[in-house]
Amino acid sequence: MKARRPQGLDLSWVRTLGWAGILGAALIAAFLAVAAAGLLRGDPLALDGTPLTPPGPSHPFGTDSLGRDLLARTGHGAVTSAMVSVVSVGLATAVALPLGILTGWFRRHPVASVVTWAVELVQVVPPFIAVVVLLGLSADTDHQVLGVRLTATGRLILSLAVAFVPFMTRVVRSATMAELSSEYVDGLILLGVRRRELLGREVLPNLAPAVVVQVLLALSVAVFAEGGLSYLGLGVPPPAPTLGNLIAEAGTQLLGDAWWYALIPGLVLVAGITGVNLLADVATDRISGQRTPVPENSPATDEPAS
Amino acid sequence: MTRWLIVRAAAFVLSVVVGLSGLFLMLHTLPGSDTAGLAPTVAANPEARAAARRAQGLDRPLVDQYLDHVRGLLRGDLGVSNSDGSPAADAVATAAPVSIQLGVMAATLGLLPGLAAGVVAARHVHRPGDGTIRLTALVAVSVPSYWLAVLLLVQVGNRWPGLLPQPGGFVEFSEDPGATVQSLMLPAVVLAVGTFGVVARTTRSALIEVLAGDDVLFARAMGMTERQVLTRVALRNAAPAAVTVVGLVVAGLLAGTVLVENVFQVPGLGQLLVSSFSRHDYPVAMAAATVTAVAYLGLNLVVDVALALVDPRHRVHAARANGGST
Repeated sequence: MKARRPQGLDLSWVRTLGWAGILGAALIAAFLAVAAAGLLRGDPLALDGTPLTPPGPSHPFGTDSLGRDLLARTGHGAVTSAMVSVVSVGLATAVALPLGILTGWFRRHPVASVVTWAVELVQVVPPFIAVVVLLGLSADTDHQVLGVRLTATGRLILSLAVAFVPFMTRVVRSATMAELSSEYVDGLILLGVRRRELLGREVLPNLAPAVVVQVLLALSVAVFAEGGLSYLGLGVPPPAPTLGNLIAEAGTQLLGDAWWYALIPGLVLVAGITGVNLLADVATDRISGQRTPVPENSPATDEPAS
Repeated sequence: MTRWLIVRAAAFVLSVVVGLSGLFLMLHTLPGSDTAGLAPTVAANPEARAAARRAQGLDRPLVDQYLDHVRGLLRGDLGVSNSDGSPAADAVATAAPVSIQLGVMAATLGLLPGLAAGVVAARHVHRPGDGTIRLTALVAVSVPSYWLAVLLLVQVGNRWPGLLPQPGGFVEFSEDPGATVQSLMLPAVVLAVGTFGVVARTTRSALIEVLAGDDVLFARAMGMTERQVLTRVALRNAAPAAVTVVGLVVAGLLAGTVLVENVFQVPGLGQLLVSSFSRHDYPVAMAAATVTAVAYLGLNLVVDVALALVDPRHRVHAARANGGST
């Protein structure tokens, strides 16, 4: 007789994710939980506590040097950090996806060669330095770009997106080329399937895994970079809380006794980055077993994350 | 080999030209960057602004300015600080050795443990040892250097202030090597954490791939011990991954030093870059960025050539990968 699994408790997803995936999902859930709790907590700018109160019942994460509640600040900061990262990586992917597919598809076309060349060449400048220069040069003043007023946060998102475009384009392009060179594509062309249909129905869905992995890695780099740039004063301007700003405030005031000030926002930041990296690792392992090859040279994986 | 070297060197020169032109274009085309350095009264008055631009030669055609810029670079002239009129090259020359020292210390501290951890993990794939190392390395690449730096600064610095880099009183290596090493220890440790993670992860995945290959199978069949297989066959075959590792480590250290130098107030290139931007001293900031970018490209070139000398296959591989960006 077959042993029957208890009804209503399907645990097969545990095996699919593996311990790394579960840990990653849990860390991201923790990050989001802090964000939600902080949002519900109220105004991150309100001066409603005794300065430098250690964590306790009235202030679970303690207060900062001005008496602002650190749970509210950390939560709002986590939301801002996540928003900046998701939007910038999203923008970069939206640009890179068509660019990469088209240059991979029409790779002998002169325009495609020029774009590919440009992408390779732009990558010669270390990306983090490029972003620091971009933001450093455009700092302090709000600019009108195409009639839209660009605030410091807007410039941060735009600079990060610009820095990610070449990398993402390259990933999409090599994945497209690898996909197009597989035998089933030749077979379908012989069968008379139209190229447009082939691209939309077969190639595009098969690109997804490789692109998802790189999007995850880009996200973790973006969260790191947002914090770092805010730390340097090039990101979201204070007093608005971001995780980077909170760490910077703690760092510049050198409060040795206030251990919670830098520690807790930083732990939230680490939970977010580690969680995304773990999921990316799991996804990479999944893919490497499949047919879709991970594009050559793709591992700019951990790039500026150090 | 000669032909490969020429192509590779040409790719290097091309990338340097592109990188420097990119920086030049950013400086001169981004809105606001040319007026932000002026006093508010000057910036608000169109005539005074035009006069200031004329004085700095900013009203000439962009092409002329660019050619001037290139001519200056070829002579080693990186421009003049617009806050005190001193040559930007001097500021860079004082700051660069500090950053190099910091980078070398961090690489030394992170490289060997990273390699060792990667090798151990690869030999125990999917066993508990591998899992522990994987998780440790992943956390190491995920922990932001600036956060770790702040924690150390606050906790260690309060208890043992002697370990902190002394602001303004940085000791030259030639004067007192011991004091320099001591004052750079904390920043170097912070940067080494990320380096360790990157090296361990890359080594592990490269080695796993190699260990599954036919060469290793054959070597084992011929009766080599595991140690011989590892040192004579596997590690040698995994060497091409070193290019990737060095690229990642250098890029990571470049980003890391900018941040960590600013946390610890180490007077290196990264701090020069950020502090000149905040003073609107664009010539100095651009000089720092220029030197950093060239150093990054140069290091990649050196590793590429070294590997090609050791391993002929790398030449073919690198030629296919389009030289410029390995």
